[in-house]
Amino acid sequence: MKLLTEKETGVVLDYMLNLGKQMLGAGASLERTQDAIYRTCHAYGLVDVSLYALSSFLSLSVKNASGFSAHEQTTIPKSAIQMKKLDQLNSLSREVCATTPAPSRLLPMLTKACHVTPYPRWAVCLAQTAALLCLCGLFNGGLKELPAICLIVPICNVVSWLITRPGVDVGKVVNELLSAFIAGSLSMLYCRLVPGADVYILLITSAFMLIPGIPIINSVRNVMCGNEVNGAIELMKVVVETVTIVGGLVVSAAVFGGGVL
Amino acid sequence: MLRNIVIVLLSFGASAGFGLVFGIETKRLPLAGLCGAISRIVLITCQSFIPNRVAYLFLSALAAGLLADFLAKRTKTLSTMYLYPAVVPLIPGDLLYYMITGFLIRNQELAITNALEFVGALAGLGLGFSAVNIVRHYEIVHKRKGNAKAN
Repeated sequence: MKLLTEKETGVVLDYMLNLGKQMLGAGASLERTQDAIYRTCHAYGLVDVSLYALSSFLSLSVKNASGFSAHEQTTIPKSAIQMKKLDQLNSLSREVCATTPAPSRLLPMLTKACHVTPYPRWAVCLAQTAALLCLCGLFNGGLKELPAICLIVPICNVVSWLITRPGVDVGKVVNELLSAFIAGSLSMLYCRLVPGADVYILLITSAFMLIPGIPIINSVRNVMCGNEVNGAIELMKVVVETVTIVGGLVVSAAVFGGGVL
Repeated sequence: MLRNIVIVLLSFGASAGFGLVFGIETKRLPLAGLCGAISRIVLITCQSFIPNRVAYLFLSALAAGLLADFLAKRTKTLSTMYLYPAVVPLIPGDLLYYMITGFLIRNQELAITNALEFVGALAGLGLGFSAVNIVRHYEIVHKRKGNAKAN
């Protein structure tokens, strides 16, 4: 193994931090991200690795064989789960660990791996509608409730898109509160227009569209897999988000529900 | 029986749909849906034999984790790719919703009942994922020993 110079150590550190940032941003578990960073350090002969990782923050310090140490930290912006990108990043991580390319090649390789064309918005909206129709069926929803879901999901998607565009971003709490209020109001109004439609089925299905299900699972995994601090923070975030969502639904019920709750 | 078949098919649809929302490649979507369907089958089977929520969610999470690991190895990708769709039927979102609703509308009984159920569900899921990690750990140790012997 070729010994890294001071400059090369900095470049490898930069690559690892960016890899971790991109992986966490794309929805990787904390354990997998830590594993990728440790493996890269090992492959490049870096020692005294000190990694502190949360879902929203990464801090990494390493030392090369000649004793030069370097440290970098970064915050991780919240973004949507993007499995295709995560798959490419995982392949890159494995390739880098197996072949240890020259440090100067690492960042261009990472940029290339991050280049993934996401599904168009309409396709995601369509898939989400289909998934929620299935969930509505699982909650015993029938033909009377299904048209409401086909109406609520696209409208909430459009509203969410409008208020989270770059330059307009109002924040996650306001976004969820508004989406929940709109979903709840549409459910109540639909049930007034269509006699026999079950408002509770529509409310719980709408809540499922907004409640952060995967973060619940990840927080539990973190707690049980040795990342207790991150797990606790994530669980708190989930509770805050759910309070916001349920708050939006309760307000909509108070305005349009006529004592439904 | 017919209702259970419908539930499994709906779980397949929900997991495949959420799979696309999570950005899973289209060629992997049927497998993602299959993970959700199998998780649901395990959940239904365990529910009919074991009345305790912690126990049946533990077994379902264990099955989902092992299935995701198995498929990830077969298709040479991350286990997360299949784990997220597989856990869709296990997410205790309804309990969290009813718990918070109970608190917000000051219905203590609704809140406390669902809070206890929610904590139980989290414990069951957490134990299931821990068990998957333990299995994975021993698998790696076993593989390393095998490689060392071969060398």
